[in-house]
Amino acid sequence: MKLINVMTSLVLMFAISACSLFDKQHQDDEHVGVEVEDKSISTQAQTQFKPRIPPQHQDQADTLAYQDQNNLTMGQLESNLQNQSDYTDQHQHQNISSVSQSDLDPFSDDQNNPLSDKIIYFDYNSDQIASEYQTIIQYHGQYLLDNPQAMIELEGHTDERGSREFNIGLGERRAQSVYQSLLLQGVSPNQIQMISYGEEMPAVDGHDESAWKLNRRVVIVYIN
Amino acid sequence: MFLSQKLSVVIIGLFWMVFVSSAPLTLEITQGVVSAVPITIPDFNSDGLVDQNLAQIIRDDLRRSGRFQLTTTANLSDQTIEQPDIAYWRQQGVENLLLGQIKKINPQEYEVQFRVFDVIRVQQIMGFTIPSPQRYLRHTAHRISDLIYEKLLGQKGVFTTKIAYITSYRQADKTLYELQIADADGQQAQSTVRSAKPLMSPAWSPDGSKLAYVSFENRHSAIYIQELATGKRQKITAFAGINGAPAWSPDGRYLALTLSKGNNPDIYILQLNTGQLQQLTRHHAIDTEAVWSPDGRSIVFTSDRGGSPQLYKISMQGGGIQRLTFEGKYNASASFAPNGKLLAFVHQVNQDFRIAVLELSSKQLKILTQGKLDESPSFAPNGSMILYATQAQQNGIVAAVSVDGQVHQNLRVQQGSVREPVWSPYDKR
Amino acid sequence: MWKHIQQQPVAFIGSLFLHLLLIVVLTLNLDWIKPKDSVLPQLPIVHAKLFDESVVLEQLKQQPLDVENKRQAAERKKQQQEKEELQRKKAEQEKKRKAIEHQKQAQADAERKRKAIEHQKQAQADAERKRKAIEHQKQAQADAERKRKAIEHQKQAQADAERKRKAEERKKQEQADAERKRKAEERKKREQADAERKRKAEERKKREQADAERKRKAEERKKQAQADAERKRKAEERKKREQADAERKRKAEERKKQAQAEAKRKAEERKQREQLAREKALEEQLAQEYQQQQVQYYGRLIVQTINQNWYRPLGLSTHGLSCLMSVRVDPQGKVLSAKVIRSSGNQVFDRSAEKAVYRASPLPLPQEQELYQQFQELRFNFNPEV
Repeated sequence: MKLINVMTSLVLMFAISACSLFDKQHQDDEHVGVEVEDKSISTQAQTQFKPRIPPQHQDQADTLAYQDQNNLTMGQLESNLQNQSDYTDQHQHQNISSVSQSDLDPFSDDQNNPLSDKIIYFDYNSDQIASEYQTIIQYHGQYLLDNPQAMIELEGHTDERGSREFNIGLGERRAQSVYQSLLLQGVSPNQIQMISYGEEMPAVDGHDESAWKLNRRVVIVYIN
Repeated sequence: MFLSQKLSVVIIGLFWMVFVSSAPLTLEITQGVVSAVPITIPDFNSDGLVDQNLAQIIRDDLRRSGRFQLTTTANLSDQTIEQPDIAYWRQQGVENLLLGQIKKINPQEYEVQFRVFDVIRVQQIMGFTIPSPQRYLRHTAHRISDLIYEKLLGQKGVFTTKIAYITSYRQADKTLYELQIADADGQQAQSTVRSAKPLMSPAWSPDGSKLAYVSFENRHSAIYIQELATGKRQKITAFAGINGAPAWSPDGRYLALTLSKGNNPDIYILQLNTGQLQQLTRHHAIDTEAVWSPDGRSIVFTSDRGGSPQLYKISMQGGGIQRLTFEGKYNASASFAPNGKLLAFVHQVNQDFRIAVLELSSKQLKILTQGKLDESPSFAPNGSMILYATQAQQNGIVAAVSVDGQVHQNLRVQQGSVREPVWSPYDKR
Repeated sequence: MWKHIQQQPVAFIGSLFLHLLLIVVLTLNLDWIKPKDSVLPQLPIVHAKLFDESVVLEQLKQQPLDVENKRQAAERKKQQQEKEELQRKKAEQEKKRKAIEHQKQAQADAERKRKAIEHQKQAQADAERKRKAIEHQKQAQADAERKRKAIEHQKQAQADAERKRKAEERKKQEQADAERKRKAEERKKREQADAERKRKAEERKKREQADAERKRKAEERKKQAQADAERKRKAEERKKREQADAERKRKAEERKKQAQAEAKRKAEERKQREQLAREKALEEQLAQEYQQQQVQYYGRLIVQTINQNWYRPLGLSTHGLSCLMSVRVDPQGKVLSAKVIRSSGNQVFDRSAEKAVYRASPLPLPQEQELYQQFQELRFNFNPEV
């Protein structure tokens, strides 16, 4: 009995400390800005982002807590969405510029808008989505579920190492990784297009890991 | 040149037999020196008719091949091509001598005459008169290089061939992509396609009249074939997902290509006149970068079906798939030597990607380059050199290496970052 | 106590059961003996003997006085004496005692019986007989004392007889052993005697053989002496003959020596002539060797020169290629002509060989005009090792 008590309390303590750790992490994330380049240059579909440095791998506690937190924020997101009567109409939504809705505009560059994060980074030669990027995919998945007219294109990219045509294949694998993740959320495949640019469109020039890690990515692009 | 120095260590061996008085003394010569062929090419006598220095073009061609040693001499304009003072040249230590002159036939038409002498044997090796319009003078110089190369080395020259490559450069915050064609020396570059979206994987038709390539215009990958003479182009495939890595069959009737059709990349064969498409490989791995063997009977491609990218061979008559590379964890992007005996490809050495050749009969692998990001090897049509892309000063450039790895050259291209060079077939004109 | 039983009920029940078992065993014990009564009469009775009644009566009178003493004495004896003797005496005492007791008090039987049983336990060998005695008493209450005694006497007699028999057997055995021993000794003696006899016979034989040998040798010696005499005689004859021969030989040798001296003189003359010839030949050979050396030396020089001047184009595969050139030179070594007489099949290779010859011109030649003959036409086989 005593042992069970001790273990239970330990588990509880662990969970509590994990939650507090995540809160800090989440706040840090919100301060990382995402800037959109001059829209006059880029086309509507061609939104370029200042690269966000992929976070370091988090420990187990972070991952556990992050899922709790995630459920919470998804709940908040849903309640927010319910407040908007005409939200399902994409065009109307775009015309509305109230403060309460701005954080749900996928074209917004407001750093407080969770949809402004559109890049998922990958390890070398890998198409595995690291756990820290699941939130980004879930935000966009929820948005696509709530807005059936919304369309995205997943752009797969690689770093410059290796042969170019093989990298096209690898970039497509990455895009499909994100694609499958969105389908699991219930997003319709009709809302998603995919393209692999391989190493042809690096986000950052340079020939070392500092550049390469920013180029191994899938970019979520809203195309209407 | 450097090679004669390298191999100038001569070991003397003597095997000999003395026969009875009537039979002549027979001596065995087993050593000798392997060296670049020495040749002297004074400037052509042109009476100031043309701006171009044809002799210089030829000298550069021959020097770039690594097989010739160009000896410089004082320019003796009084030496006529008809009456050369061979004794004088011999005295100068000259072995092979090329003398040329340019004559004007009419305002647009020139006549280039040249003679090659073997100073040692006091013989003319060859002599030609080539009529040439002014705009073809440069090409004529390359033709002379080809002729000398073949005469003195017994191998067809590649100086009149072309190279195609992709270049990208920034222009007013935009990255522009171009498919360019240039002479084998990198000069006379011409843009064939220009796009704001990536262009990739140019491939010469076997007759050298067309280029297949991949374009990402309109947010889609698609394969195009472009006629070089007319600029006319045709979209060949634009399936969902990947349309990539086009490769012409040696008879020019088929195109091997990579399609994912929204699923995963496999190799397909497209019959060009009927549009009939046939799937060649079927595997959940990435299968791409098909190249045809020169006899057209098999295709070599890159696949990571074994866990890492390696080269595989598949017969066109059907049958098994055979793995070709086993050394190293990354072997991709193959190019067949024209004789079908060698494969050049990208081979990873530690963290670096380099160009290596594999002798198919002996399975011997030889690493030819020393770069960090060398890629896209392409054999010259005579099999003597391999063109590839490498990095220099943080920029992509085109380089060439001889098949034995002894001669290295960098090609100069005017602007931007250059990649995916492909050597054209022989000029069929 | 109750506590103990409470704590260990199993032990209690066990002991209870054991006790009960003991009681049952004891009660049954008496009954066990009875069935055996019928067995006894069947025992075979052998060598019956009659005893004098008066002796028995006398014994009976004395015994009641110190039964206990006697019993103790018997016990002591039992420990010391032979087992059979003890058993017999004890049985007697017991039987007598019990007879008296029976007369005096029938009730005391049980007590005595128990004691008898105890004795049986102490002396496992008596028990059977004791019980039997008691049984006899019980069985034949009416039986006369004599009968029992007779039986006992019979038994005793049996025992005695047995003892006697055994003693006799032992005696016989001993006799047999003695006899065997004796015989063995006799045999031994006989064998020794035989051996002695044999030995002597052999010695005799040897002696005889030796005698024979001696005789034979004497005869041989005799014969030899005769032969020696003969030989001597013959030798002397031979000697005489040899002396005659020697004389003849000496004369012949003198003749021979004269002839040899003559031959030697002639040979030496010949030798001198030959030596002269040889010296002349050597001179010629040396001259030839010198020429050959010169040819070799200049051959080496030429090969070296050609090798140094043979430039093969870089990248040219010479694998399996070779060509033979015929070259004519003038006395100064200048190449007059160079022709490929066997092509490699590769023009570039052939030309490189041809050029090597011209480039090497003039070739190094020896000064001697007579050697030029060997160099005016040369052949070069261009055959690269790599």
